[in-house]
Amino acid sequence: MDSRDAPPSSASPEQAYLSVRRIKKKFGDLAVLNGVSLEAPEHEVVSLIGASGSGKSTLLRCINLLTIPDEGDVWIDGVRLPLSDPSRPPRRITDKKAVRLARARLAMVFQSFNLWAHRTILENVTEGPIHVLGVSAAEAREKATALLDRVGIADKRDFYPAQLSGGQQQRAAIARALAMEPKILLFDEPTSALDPELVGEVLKVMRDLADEGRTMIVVSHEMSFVRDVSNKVVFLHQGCIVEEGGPAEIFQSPKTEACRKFLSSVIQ
Amino acid sequence: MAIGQSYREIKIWLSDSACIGLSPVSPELFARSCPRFIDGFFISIELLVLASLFGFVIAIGLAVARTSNVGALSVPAFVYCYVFRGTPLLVQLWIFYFGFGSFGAEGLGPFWLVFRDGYWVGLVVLTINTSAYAAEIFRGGIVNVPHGQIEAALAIGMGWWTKLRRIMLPQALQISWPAYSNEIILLLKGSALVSTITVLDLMGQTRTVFSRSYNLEIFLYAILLYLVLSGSLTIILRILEARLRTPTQMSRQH
Ligand SMILES: Nc1ncnc2c1ncn2[C@@H]1O[C@H](COP(=O)(O)OP(=O)(O)OP(=O)(O)O)[C@@H](O)[C@H]1O
Ligand SMILES: [Mg+2]
Repeated sequence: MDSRDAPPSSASPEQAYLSVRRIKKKFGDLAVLNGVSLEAPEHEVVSLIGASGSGKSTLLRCINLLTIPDEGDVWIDGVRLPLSDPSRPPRRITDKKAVRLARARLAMVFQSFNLWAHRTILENVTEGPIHVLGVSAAEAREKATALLDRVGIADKRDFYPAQLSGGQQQRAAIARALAMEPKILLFDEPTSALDPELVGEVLKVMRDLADEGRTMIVVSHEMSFVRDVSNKVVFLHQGCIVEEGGPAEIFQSPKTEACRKFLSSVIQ
Repeated sequence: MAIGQSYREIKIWLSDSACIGLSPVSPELFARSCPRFIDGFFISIELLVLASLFGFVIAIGLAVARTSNVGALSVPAFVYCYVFRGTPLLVQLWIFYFGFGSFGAEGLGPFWLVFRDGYWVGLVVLTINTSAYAAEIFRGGIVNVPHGQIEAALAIGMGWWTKLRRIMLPQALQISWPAYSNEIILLLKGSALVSTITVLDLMGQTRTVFSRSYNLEIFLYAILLYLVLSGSLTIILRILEARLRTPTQMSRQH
């Protein structure tokens, strides 16, 4: 048996639901992640901050294997996502079914919404439950309607994505993610593509999710939001985690020069 | 058999009614050869409908194979498209009919049933030809599905087939439908070439009638009938296009 299939020995006291171990990723010659480890304990919000190009999106995408890490592994609920031996590149997924199941439990919300343009808002939300989870159409519709109501766009259910504002589209994308009843929500700068006046409505939905105890990993440049909702803040710099801790710790007394500089550049 | 029988009866009935209905306005020359024209008209429609339906299915498969990163799929599909798009339809028809056909029953075995009959050769070649063109069109549609939407499909846990069927192909069809409509109109016009391998389609019948009367007026009727065909085809394709299209920002309603 592959020794890497044993649960990580250095697990945190309260066994984290998701744990990322020494992830490395290069694009060509550019080393984007240089051995990043991260833990997302249940019911906690972990925020990733850092300058543009520091590898935040890449790290998030390595978690659901939209990007395959060159080295390192992702553990979900004590099970390692099946990737081939890193010593024999290129690395690939060795068990597609297992990865599909894992992805269904990790919902991702993208910066550019990525709603399916040919389906109505309701269909966007029911698509995953019906065609991935195998839920009945009636049940999926009922649940989707409730979720759309919850994010405040129930009246838009029969519209197509292009007919909605950015803020409405992102809320629909969040409803689509929630419909999968995911264990973890991954957010990649969900408000960066929005006009300033639309940011609030999306952050409000995310705040509610944090309050209800969802496990979330959030990449965001909205520092006041990060400070308010995070249990832990992780600062990425040139593909390494150079600082992590509670929001008060990071925001009030950053230890590294890089983090100080970054914070002063984003908080005027 | 029963279906073939009633289809034949319907054709005869339609042909009779059309010729009788048109008789008050038919010039004498047309009236005399009306059943022939209508017969040919039906053959052209049959070839068009069957070739475009079979061609559509094959083209989707080819387009998916073309965009696959498995070389064993993409390379043969590429070669198929390259060969059948890169050679004239007329040459393809003649090679299949006169070339392969010359091997006869001994050389071709059961395939002889297809190769001895210009109609079936015409149908096969038109299907192959349009599938090669349409595959290229659909491939363009597939690669133009926004990448983010494909990632969203993967991220939600869709497998290859679900992602293709639910997300990629519907949008690829939307994107490529105008170009595909154009290809079908070209197929209609190209189908006239089957008249060179003895098929009595609209063009074939026109040539037969012409060879008896040597009256150029005959071609005028052929042109009118082709225009009726391409006109109705355009309307049908437009209706399908409108059904495929989803509302865009233009029709945003708040
Ligand atoms: N698919 C890719 N191919 C090549 N280079 C890539 C790819 N994806 C990301 N990169 C590069 O990796 C680096 C880190 O990118 P990443 O998107 O992770 O940064 P980020 O921290 O999310 O930045 P931002 O705040 O701008 O979103 C960048 O220099 C980027 O150009
Ligand atoms: Mg990013």
